[in-house]
Amino acid sequence: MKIPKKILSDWVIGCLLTIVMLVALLLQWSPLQSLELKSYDFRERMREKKQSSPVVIVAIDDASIASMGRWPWPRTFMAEMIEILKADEAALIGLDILYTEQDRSSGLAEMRALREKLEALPSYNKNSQLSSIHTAILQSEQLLDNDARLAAAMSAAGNVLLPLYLTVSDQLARQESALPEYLKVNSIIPSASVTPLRAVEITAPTPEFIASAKGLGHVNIVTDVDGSLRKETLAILYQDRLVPSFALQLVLHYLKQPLSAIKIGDELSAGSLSVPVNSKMQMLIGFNGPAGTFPYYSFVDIMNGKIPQGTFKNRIVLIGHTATGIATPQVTPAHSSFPPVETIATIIENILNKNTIQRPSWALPLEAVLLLLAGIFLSFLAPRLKAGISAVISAILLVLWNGAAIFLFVSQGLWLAMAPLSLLLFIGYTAIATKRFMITEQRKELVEADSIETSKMLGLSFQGQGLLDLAFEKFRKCPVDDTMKDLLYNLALDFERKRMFTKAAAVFEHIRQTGSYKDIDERIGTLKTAGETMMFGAPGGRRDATVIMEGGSSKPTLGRYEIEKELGRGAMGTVYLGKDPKINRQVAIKTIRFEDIDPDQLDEAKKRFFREAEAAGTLSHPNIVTIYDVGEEYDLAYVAMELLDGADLSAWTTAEKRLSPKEVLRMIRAVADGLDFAHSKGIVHRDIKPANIMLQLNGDIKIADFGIARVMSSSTTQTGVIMGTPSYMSPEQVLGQKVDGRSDLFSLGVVMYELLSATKPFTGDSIAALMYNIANKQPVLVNKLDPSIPECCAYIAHRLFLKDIEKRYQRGKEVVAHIDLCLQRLGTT
Amino acid sequence: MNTVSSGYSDRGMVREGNEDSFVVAPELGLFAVADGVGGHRAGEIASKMALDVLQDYLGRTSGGGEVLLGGNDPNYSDTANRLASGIRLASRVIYESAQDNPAWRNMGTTIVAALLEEERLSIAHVGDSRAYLIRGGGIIPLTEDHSMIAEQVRMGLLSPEAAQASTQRNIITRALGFEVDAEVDLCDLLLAQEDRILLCSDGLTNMVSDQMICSIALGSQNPDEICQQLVEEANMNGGKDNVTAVLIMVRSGSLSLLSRMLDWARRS
Repeated sequence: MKIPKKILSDWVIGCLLTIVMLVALLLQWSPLQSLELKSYDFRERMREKKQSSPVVIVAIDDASIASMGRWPWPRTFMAEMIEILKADEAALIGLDILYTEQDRSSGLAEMRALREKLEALPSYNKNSQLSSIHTAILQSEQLLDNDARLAAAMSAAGNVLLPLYLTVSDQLARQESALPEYLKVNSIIPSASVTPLRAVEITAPTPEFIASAKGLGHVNIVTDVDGSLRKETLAILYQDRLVPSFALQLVLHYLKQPLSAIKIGDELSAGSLSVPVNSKMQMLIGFNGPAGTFPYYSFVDIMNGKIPQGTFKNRIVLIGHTATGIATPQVTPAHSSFPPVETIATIIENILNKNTIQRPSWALPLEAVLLLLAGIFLSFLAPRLKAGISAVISAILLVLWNGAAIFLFVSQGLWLAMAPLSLLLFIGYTAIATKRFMITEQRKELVEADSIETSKMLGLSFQGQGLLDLAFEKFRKCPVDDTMKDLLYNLALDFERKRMFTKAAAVFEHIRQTGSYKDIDERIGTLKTAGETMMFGAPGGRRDATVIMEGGSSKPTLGRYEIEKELGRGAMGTVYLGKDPKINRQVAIKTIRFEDIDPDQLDEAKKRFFREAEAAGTLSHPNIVTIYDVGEEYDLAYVAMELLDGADLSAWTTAEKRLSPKEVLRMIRAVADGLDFAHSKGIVHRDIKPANIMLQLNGDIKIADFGIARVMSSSTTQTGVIMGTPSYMSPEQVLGQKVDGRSDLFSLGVVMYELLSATKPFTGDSIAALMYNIANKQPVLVNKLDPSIPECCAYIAHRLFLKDIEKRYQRGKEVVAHIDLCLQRLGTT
Repeated sequence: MNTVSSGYSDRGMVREGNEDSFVVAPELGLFAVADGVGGHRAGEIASKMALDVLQDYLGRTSGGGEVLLGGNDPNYSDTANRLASGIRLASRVIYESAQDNPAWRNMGTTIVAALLEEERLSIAHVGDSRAYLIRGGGIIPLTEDHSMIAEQVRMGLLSPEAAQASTQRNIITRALGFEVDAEVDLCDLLLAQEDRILLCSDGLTNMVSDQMICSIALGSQNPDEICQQLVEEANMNGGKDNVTAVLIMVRSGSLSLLSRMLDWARRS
């Protein structure tokens, strides 16, 4: 399983989210906008409160339609209504019905045609009968001229305002048509600071009505992205004039402020009136409640005189549709089906009571700054806190900001955006928490489902500890994928470095089971041809040692010697059978591992080793193993020496294989002779023991490892190879004093004692005890252990390991002489 | 996070070898002390192996995307979990290599390790090696010994005074390498300015009182000096065991602004 190397860190996620949210806020990204508008509507409904206002509504409602007939009604009904309202002293009448065409329903045209026919008759002027008919037709004509009737009623009332409709578009208005005369009085010259909406076409009432109306205003509505109506556009640009809205006109006329009094900036003001607007001259409508919050009077009830006198006195009366199928209800925050006429009422109320909603100019900068702060919290602080604490802090921030936003909206009518900050905190926190959770889960999954990973990990650790076999055992449990191949390959190389070539080959084979990889085929080939004989050094060394390997089938070499095969392994290193190709002589090559020696002392130890080995090399004696050569190659020191064909004496120290005293004497004599020679050259062996005395097949005795052994074992080692039992040490060695040839003779005595009796003269439960005994205890005479041992033998052995150096044999020669005497005595008896 | 650190170990006055090991690896944020158990120098091998494996593991997994051995404990930070995982791994390595090598039979080691990641320090321990926090002039133990005596005291079976006098103080109830899986105790803390963290083996705590440790730890600005003085003090009191001390010091003024604010908030 692959794990992503580095998962996005928390702060990156936090910063990205913050940037996205900031951009969304500044560009008013529509989903965010919709969300914000939802919160706006929510706050709007919380804020709703019935306000007192001079506005009443005359509704052309279902009941009126039912009793007065289908719409459109004859315009005389409206004329009658205006007369009634005028009689009740209404302050202002807003007739929210757009009469753009002349009335053709009443048969006026027929009547006119009839009259014109009559006038065309030749007898028309002479016939009084015809003349009276003509008069009657004229009267009927007047009766049927509804438009004239309504226009007359409006003129008589003198306080009727009419709507007009503008076609809003970004395209430039068609300039060819001159500005209509009526707009000159019903519009404002715009100031430079505004960027109003532009209209390209105008739909106005008929000129007859315009002439009789007190004022005109547009009834355009602009909805938000979600199709809901929240704001009123107080003025729209047509050609080079700003056309005020119907509601604004009503308010201005109600307050008796001329259009010219209007000043436009952050607010639209005229006299005592001021309305906060945005750059498009829009104000946010503060609704007072659902449809029906303003007083409604049914059209038919008024016509039937059911409404008490004085109801409309000094009121702004709006006449509009509410009937099903005729009215076009609007979607507003307050109600999903809000009559347009009540929207106008609400706007008038808002302006008069300064009850609008305002988006202050500092709102956006404040929101942006808060968004940034929240981003910093999410990115840098939250990841450092425990999940619970950051959740609580996020929740508190959320509640604080939203609480403030709601409070300001409801009490002050200030609109601050809730959505961006809430969304950022919410998404950000969720994202970071989810990420944490996922990572934790992913890890759990990895660990719990994947013992393979565990094996891999253990394998790597074992390899790091140099425990290659254990490492391979663990790696074997993992399926061989690409990463595994690499790990195995490195393991095989480690095996090679430790000269464990069979193991290395086994690992390469394991890789090859799943196909070739890198140069393993080649490597397996090399390892195979080299074969078992290629084993240099003993396994188990910790540090890397150099592999001696030549390509192809040629034999490996060490120095100038060709290596034929391994002969055996010792404590210090491995012994190989080698050949000196120059003189075609077979030699034993002993390699020395310096691996366990403390690196600080390595140079010193090597120096000493070569010094001693070279000195030993000068010794030429039949009882001393001849050293031909010492050398160093690839960090591997070696000694080329005489090839021996026997075994060392350690095999002859057991009770079952005891040698006869005569035989022992012969051997000790040979060793003593060799030692005498070496001592005379000033060279001390320091490690005389059965293992270092070689018995050749022809019976010759040779002392091995002159000088070399002690160099190795006396160097302080780092990893602490367990020191061999110092049974053969002399008291001066044990006590760490200066050592000379007589120390070797002491050791020889111990060897002799052991060969004779198969018992070590000095023993102890621990090394410490043994050392104490060597220094202080005098062993029993060897013939006390076995009476068959001749007395002279016991004497010689006893004399060899006397504690007092001066009383001991001083030279090997003396030992030789005494042995000769003893042998003579034995021979004679 | 700017810290200075040092470690010092000594075989003491009585023991022949030193079975304690320590590691101070600021580049990994790793600091640890291990006290090996087992004859024939196996204890030394175990303690060294534990720290080697741990250091190796943390080095390998420092880039993230690590695999956690023994699962993730959600009560602790990721850092703490990573540290625990490394220690469990070390325990396994020791256990399995001991199975493979008779000379290493029954070897084990205690461990106390600290892993620093920015201002957060995670401490993990097994056995009776301890971690202390020296803050504001006082010394606070961060670990509870996994020793028989300490557990008996915790269970109320033994009074602290009786524990002081007990001869069984050296028996530990948990160690790496004794079982396949080691149970690791964890703790997370946020470092503050001038904090000092001491990791040490029982050779120190058995010989020197907490109060004395505290005053020595506050006695110098040089961590090398403090570690050496702690070891010397233990040796002067008898030095019956190997003594090891590792000290981490938070340099004043080294914390980030944010941490200083948190620090201030915590204090006020």
